[in-house]
Amino acid sequence: MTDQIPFDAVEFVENPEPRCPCVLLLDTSASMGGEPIRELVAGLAAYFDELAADELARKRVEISVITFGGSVNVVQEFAGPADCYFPDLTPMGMTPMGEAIETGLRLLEERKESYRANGVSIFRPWVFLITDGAPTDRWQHLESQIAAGEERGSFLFFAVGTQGADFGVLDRLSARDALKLKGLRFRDLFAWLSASQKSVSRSAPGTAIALPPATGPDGWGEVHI
Amino acid sequence: MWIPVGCSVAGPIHEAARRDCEDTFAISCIPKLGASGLLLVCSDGAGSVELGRVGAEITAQVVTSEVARLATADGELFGNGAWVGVVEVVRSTLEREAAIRDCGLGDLACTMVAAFVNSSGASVAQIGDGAIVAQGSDGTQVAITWPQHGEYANLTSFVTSPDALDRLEYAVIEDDLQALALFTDGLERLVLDFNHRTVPGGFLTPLWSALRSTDALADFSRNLALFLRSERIRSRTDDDITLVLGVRSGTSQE
Repeated sequence: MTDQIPFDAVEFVENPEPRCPCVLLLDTSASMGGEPIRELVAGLAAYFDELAADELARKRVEISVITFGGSVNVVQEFAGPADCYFPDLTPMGMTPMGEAIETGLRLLEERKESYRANGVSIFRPWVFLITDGAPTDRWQHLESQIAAGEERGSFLFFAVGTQGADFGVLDRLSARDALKLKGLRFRDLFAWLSASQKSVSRSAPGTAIALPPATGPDGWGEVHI
Repeated sequence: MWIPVGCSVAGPIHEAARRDCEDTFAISCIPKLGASGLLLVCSDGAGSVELGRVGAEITAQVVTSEVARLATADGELFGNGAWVGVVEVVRSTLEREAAIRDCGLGDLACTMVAAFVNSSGASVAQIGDGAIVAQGSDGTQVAITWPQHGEYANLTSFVTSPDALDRLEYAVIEDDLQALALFTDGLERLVLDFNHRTVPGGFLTPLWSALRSTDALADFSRNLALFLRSERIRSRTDDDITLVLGVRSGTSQE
């Protein structure tokens, strides 16, 4: 017998890949000017590259980037990491965090509806909020909306604050403890996020998603007191 | 009579973590039913728990012994009540195992995909993902069960879940089935069309034909293992894979 692989007449169905949608809500208010925004942008660029370089994550993870600084801007509609348009982030203005969260949750729901209509299965979506301050618009109504979404399993909501962020607000918004970024370690934060989403995008049912530790001596974040 | 064959291969993600394949399967002929009786089972241990493989092996063994015990020679097929009874025995066996090992029932989490065939047709039952596809007497292929994924691609139900009996899906097919296939979730996206919820047939038809025409089952079995380990398959899925096939042979030459 030759080394020919048998059953080459077998045909495989081409199903759409299951998707892992991720919404990034990024603070670009005036206080983020200078080194903070430079580090954030560098971390974001590396995040897109890491995911695009991974065979499964490239096909499965879809990212939407929404900034809030002065106004709320959807700088990136849901797209795979290789197709992500690299945003020009210029810090300015106040912090309309409430409107950004509302926009993000709405776009996520619309995207899920689109997946359902097209028979595309998904992994539980991520919503990731990064801020250095406090919301300057109405946000209180979102506390129960996020809690209900988490309860239903509609998404996982993570909040990360830098030094100076209002953790009282972040802890109310997020069902899990908000994390405090050590210094300006955005690159490490985004490296953690890409590693985590690579794990999720290859997870089979029942597989543990061992997220790398965010906290601890080598981690980029800590649970604030 | 039926010609059955099965194969389980570990996925690269499990091999890399030095874990055994957590899928298992069982094939048994049921003596009191003679040549027309067959039971096919597969079970996929949950990768997130320590003892999924143990749970899967127990599930396959207990389904086999319970179906053999309950099957009657008069061609009666299992209804929902009989399958509920089988699952209850599986669960109580898993509970005893958990007590012996001093672990939680959930540590033995696994799925169950089973098909019992006799002279009247087939009765199938499933909890979790994977699926059962049959070829009817008219030659058409149909998915008798569909993977239970719930809202998200990486979630499913398990025999050990609190709502397992609510999630138990069963079906009875009174037809002269020509072929059957059972598989765990590793092969779902290659065999089933999720957009249209159909079975296109291009995957199973050539395999069933080859099984019907083989004159050396051991060679077929070896080739099946080679195929499931091939790059073609691995480029599409890195999970554990189990495929159990059965074809009815009716000619005197076979």
